[in-house]
This record gives sequence, C-alpha cells and structure tokens, in this order.
Amino acid sequence: MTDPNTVRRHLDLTRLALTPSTAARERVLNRLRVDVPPPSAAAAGGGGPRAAPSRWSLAGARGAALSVGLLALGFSAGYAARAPSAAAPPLPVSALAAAPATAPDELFPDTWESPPEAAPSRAARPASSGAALERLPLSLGTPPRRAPAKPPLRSLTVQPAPASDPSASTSPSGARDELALLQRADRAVRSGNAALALALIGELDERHPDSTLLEERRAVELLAHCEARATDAAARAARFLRDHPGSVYVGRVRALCASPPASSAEPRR
Amino acid sequence: MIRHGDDAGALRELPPVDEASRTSREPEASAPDAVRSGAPEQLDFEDVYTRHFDFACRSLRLLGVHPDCLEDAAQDVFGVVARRLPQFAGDASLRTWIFAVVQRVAANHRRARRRKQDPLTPLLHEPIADVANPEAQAEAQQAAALVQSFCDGLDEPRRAVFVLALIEEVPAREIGHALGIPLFTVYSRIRSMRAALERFLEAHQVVTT
Repeated sequence: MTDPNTVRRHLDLTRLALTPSTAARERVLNRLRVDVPPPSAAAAGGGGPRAAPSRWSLAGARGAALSVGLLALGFSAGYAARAPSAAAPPLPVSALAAAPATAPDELFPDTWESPPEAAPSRAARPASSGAALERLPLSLGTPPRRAPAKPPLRSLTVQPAPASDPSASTSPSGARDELALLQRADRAVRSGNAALALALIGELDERHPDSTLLEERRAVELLAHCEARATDAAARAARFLRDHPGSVYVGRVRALCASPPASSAEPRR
Repeated sequence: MIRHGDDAGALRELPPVDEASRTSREPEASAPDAVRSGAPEQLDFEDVYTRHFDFACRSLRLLGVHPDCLEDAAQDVFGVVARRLPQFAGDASLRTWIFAVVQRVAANHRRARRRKQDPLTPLLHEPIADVANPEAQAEAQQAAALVQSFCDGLDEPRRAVFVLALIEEVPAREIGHALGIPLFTVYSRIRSMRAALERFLEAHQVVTT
C-alpha cells in the first residue's frame, strides 16, 4: 500500500515543477503591457491606449478567436452570471472590435450565483433532529441500530431532493443533515457523552443507511463504545484498525480503546 | 480536506455546516482574495497578475494545455483578467474567478492545439526555478509527469476539484461556491481522488518514501 506521504510528496513536487520562473512571468507581462494597458491606469485617466485599436492589433485576432471559441463552449452550470449592475463601467468597445457581435457578459461571469443546490434554511433541522433523538433509547444496554438490509425507497433518490425528503443522503440537504448529525455525535464522544453519541449514530443508521461517510460513522460509533468502556470495545477496535489501517481515526482509536474494558463487576451505565 | 495520518480525526477538519473552513495551510495570496474582497477599483492588475500568475500557469498545465502553448494561454488568461478586472464585483474569491477564466482558456487551447507563428519559449521546459540539484529537478519533473497523467484521466468536474483542492489547496467552501457543487460533494470528491491517486501511484510502482 502506498504511503500517504508519497501522495503528498508527489503533489508538492508537482506544484514545484509546474510553477513558472520569474523570467517567464516577466515575459508574459511584457507582452500584456504591449497589448493591454492595466485597467487601473485607464481608470485613472491614462486614456489613449484604451481607445486605440492598435492596442489589440497583436492580440486582436487572438481575441476574436478566443471569443468565438469561448462562446462555442458555453458555460458550465456553476458559472451563471448575474446581470451586471447599473453602476458597472461599460466595457471598452475597442477591446472587442475584432470579435463577433457577442455580448461579453455572456462569455465571462462577473459574479457568482448561489449554487443551484444551495441548502434551504436549516432553522427547522435541529428541532426535528431533537425530536427524533428523544425517541431513541439512550441506555447503553440497547445496541445501536444497524442499517436495514433493504434501504427504504426514499433513500434511493438521486436527484436533488426537495426539502420534504431530507433523509436522502444523495441530496444536498440530506448530506448536510447527515454531516451535522455526525459532527454532533463526534462532539458527544469528545465531551464524554457516549450514550448521546450512540443514539445519534443510531439515528444516522436509520435515516442515512447509504453514505460515503460510513467509515467516519463507524469510527465515531467505535469511539463511543470505547468511551463507555463496553466489553467488546477492544474487539471492535481491532476489527476497525484491521479494516481501515489508513484512517485518520487510527490515532484516536488507539488512544481511547487501548484501555482494558470495564470488569464484569462494574455496573453497566 | 481529510488528510491521512492526522491524529485529530477527520470530522474536526470538516467544517460545521454553516461555517467557512480552511483545508490546510494558508495558500498564497488568500486574504485579499477572500469573498469579502473590496471594490474592483482597489485591485491593481499588476498586483493581481503577480499574485496569481503561478497559480494560473499550474492550473493551465494540469487542465491539459500543452507546454508549448502555455505562454500563449497565460497571456490569454490575463488579457481577459485585465479587461474584466474593473467589473469584478468581489462576490467570490478572485482566485476562483480567475480559475473560471483559466478553465475556458484551457478548453479553447485543448480544442485548437494551435501554435503561434513565432514559437515562444515553452514555459515549462525551463529548469525549475527553486531547484538547483539536477537529481531533485528530475524527481520533481517525474512526479509532475505522473500527476499530470493521472489528471488527464479525470473528467472535467473532477479535474477542476483536483487542481483547486489538491494542488492549489483552495478551501473546500470556496471550491464549492466556484464550481456550483455542494460542500459535501467537494469533500467526497477530494477523498475519492486522493485514494485514486494513491492507487495510481501504486500501480506505477512508485517507491514509497
């Protein structure tokens, strides 16, 4: 298995290898100074070059070709442009003199819209989570719920789910709900509240049986068992470490689950 | 960004749902380019160019621009930036705004694959600036070639996340905002691509260090 540090090292070396030299930076800047004066200079009344067609004489053909090519490409979904504000200064017409009659705002985004999958208000979420939590057993004697063998149909939704179907892990709101619950469970473990953590994990198993965060969920569940000194915590930990040797939870699991389990004489909480 | 070997646990590195987060160390030129950036008239083009040229070139290369065309492509990118900078409203990170331009320019160059009549010095055939040792140079070039090869096999959405998250270490929230994908999806893709890169390196029998 490749050392994770190898991945990091390759990424760092790639960044280093692909970084251009200072000389290259100057060369490109010098070409830009010939072709396009800085907008700051133009805005300060530097004037003339901005209106001079020759400013784009070298880059004019490139500019036209670029505009056509970019128009043909269209936009990706995340770059929808808002209408420019009335206060925005107009584009220099000369800059696109050689380009086809295409509104420049259609080519380049000025501002960002919120992603279409932006989560709706989450004001109601904590209340519903809390209500569901109250129905879950808090005693350690009750084993955490396991994911059902056949997930309910509502969890198989693959399109962005409406607000009424927050349990679908594939929907953005469902993913946020799951992440919030998992973070609450993790905080509960860190604060020593294993019962709450296990209850939250149980809720996660019920509401989000399919998830890409299952490793994290199982890790938090394991840590809760270790925090509670469950008798089978050591066996669970060994299994987790065997199944996930590269997990970021390895350190916490070893630290928390290394202690021997509670003796049978001690009452269970 | 979830990092292996971090003893603190992954969830602490995942942001609370409604808070911004940083994935790792401070990337270059991050503070002035944050979502809260000032009015466009406060942005000096040459300052923007100096701070983002390296980022743009690395991104162009990893988005498939041929080394011989890289200088042309960089000029195209910053020509657009120079022209459009006064209209940058500051609603998003300047860096990711520039990345949007980079993506379009890279796509255009990949399609065209044309050369200028007067070939310019290919940017990345030059020795690596900060590496004097020839062996280190070779190692870095080899690593970059492998990562480039891996990158070429990604689809466009994932390649964008790869470049922004794993090479440029842009915060996940910024990436999600820029690419129009949910934060959860960003994290998921980051993790899956790290794992895929790990398998790729293993398949190419990269000697572990």
